[in-house]
Amino acid sequence: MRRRRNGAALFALPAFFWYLVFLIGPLASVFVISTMNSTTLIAKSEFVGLRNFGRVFTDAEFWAAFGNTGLQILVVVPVMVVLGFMLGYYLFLGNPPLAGVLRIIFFTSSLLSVSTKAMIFYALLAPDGLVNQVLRGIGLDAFATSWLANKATALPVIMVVDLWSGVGFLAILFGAQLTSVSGEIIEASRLDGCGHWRSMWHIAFGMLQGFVGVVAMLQFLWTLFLSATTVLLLTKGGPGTSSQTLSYLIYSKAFEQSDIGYSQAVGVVLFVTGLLGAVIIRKILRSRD
Amino acid sequence: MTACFRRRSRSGPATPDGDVQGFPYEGYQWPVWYNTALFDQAGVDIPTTTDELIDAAAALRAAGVQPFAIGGNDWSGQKLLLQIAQSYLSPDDAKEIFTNGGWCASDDAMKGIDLFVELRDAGVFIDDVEGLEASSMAAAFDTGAAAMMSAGSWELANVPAEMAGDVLFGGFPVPSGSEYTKPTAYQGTANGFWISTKGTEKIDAIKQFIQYLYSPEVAAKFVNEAQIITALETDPALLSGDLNPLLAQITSELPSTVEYAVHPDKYVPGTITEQLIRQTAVSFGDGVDSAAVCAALDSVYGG
Repeated sequence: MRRRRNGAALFALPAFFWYLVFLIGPLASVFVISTMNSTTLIAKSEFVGLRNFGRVFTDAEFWAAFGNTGLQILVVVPVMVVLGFMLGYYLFLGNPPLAGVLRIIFFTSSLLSVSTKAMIFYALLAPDGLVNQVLRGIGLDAFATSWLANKATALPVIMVVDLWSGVGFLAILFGAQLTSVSGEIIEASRLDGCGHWRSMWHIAFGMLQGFVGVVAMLQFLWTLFLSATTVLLLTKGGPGTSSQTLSYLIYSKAFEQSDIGYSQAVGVVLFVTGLLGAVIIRKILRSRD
Repeated sequence: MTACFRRRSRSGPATPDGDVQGFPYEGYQWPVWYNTALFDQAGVDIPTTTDELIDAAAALRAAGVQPFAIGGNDWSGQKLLLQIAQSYLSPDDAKEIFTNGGWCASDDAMKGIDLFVELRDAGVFIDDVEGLEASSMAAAFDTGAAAMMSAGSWELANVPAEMAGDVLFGGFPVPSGSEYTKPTAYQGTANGFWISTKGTEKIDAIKQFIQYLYSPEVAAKFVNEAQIITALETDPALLSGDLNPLLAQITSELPSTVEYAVHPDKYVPGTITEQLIRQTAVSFGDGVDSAAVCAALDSVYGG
């Protein structure tokens, strides 16, 4: 019995070391480097305590990015989860025409690489791109603008790209869960005369509340940490700092401004924010049992 | 070797303290490109002053041509803004402000920014300029949609053959009272040679190599055969007879028709360059006044 247990532990060792080196190591280095005055990765640096945090919290650029990220989270996560849930319900329980084809179409957006998505939206949103051409064609010239270079529209564009690429994926997640968990119950309720809206929110959502909580938490973390790539490819945080998010600030400070100490201090802030947000979301959206 | 190099090169390799850091080799010219055919079509001369530029822009627009193409949203717009903004600044003042900021505090810098805003509001720049990038600028010029652009000699390869005869290189027009008496252009260096610590052990071989490369004949070979402009002044007598006419024009004729403005890339700290570019993008937008422009630029320097 004992020998078998030791054998099992031995087999787990390679994975454990991999995890240690590539996950725990970098995570620990975020905290360590945030206390150093590192400029680039190979430059000499010294311990400076919490000075980087002092610089971060007194920097207008940080607070601008904080505000942008806050807005992004508050808009994208709820809208994405609600729309994804509704779309998932419709695609899997709403019997749409050509259900199979529709499900594939909506899922495709999540199969595209970030750079492909960026190229598509870049072409759509360029000053002479498709969106402006359509607006001008139907006489709405006043609305045509440089979407990626206008302070008022740069961040909303980033949010729209996130929504466009994520809703289909969430719909599939929710739809699959809906059919496996509550498919029969929903059918029964429909037979009893329940309208789709009641079925969706009073029955399906109620049964899936815990799952929705997990997905919302994941979406929160994805939006918080992964928006940097979209920003990098479309606006680079501009014009000015109007579309700069915290995750992009981390990249910019590290690789454009050679200020890795500051960058990792923001990384610590983001880590704590992510942790707190994930816990709060799960508390709110917990399984009813 | 260093003395010989300094005599020949246009831009020295020395640090502000006078120590040699490296040897620039590949160079570029960064003039304003004028499409003479479109100017003829509009019935207006190539402008040399900013007043003439404004009039030319109006005439070009009336003829259905976009005047000045530039990528307002990226580095190409940043260079042009800084080129215009330094119109009234002495080279030393320009270097100081590029390095340390202080745009709003300098009267001469504010005059330059006022000039930029005036040109922008007069419609000199291509429509939607704040949303364009360098690739759109080059496309606009190369397709004959725009009559002017500010681009480097690296764009020579992209000029359509049928258009080559119409391209004239010159400088950006200057206002009256400007620090510069001729239209301004940029020039700079790209790739070059640095000596590593290991390399210092073979310094004699390196000396031979550098002297060979910097000889007039070899430098001319780079121009003739590789179409690469070097950091050295090329002796026109050594240029091949069937050289690409645009390359010949940009190496032999351009330098005497322009004055060279202070190149921002040499003075703007590398760590704030990207942020500065994002702020200059703001300046190309409609309705952004001079105070907002100088505040945006100063904000990058921690101002």
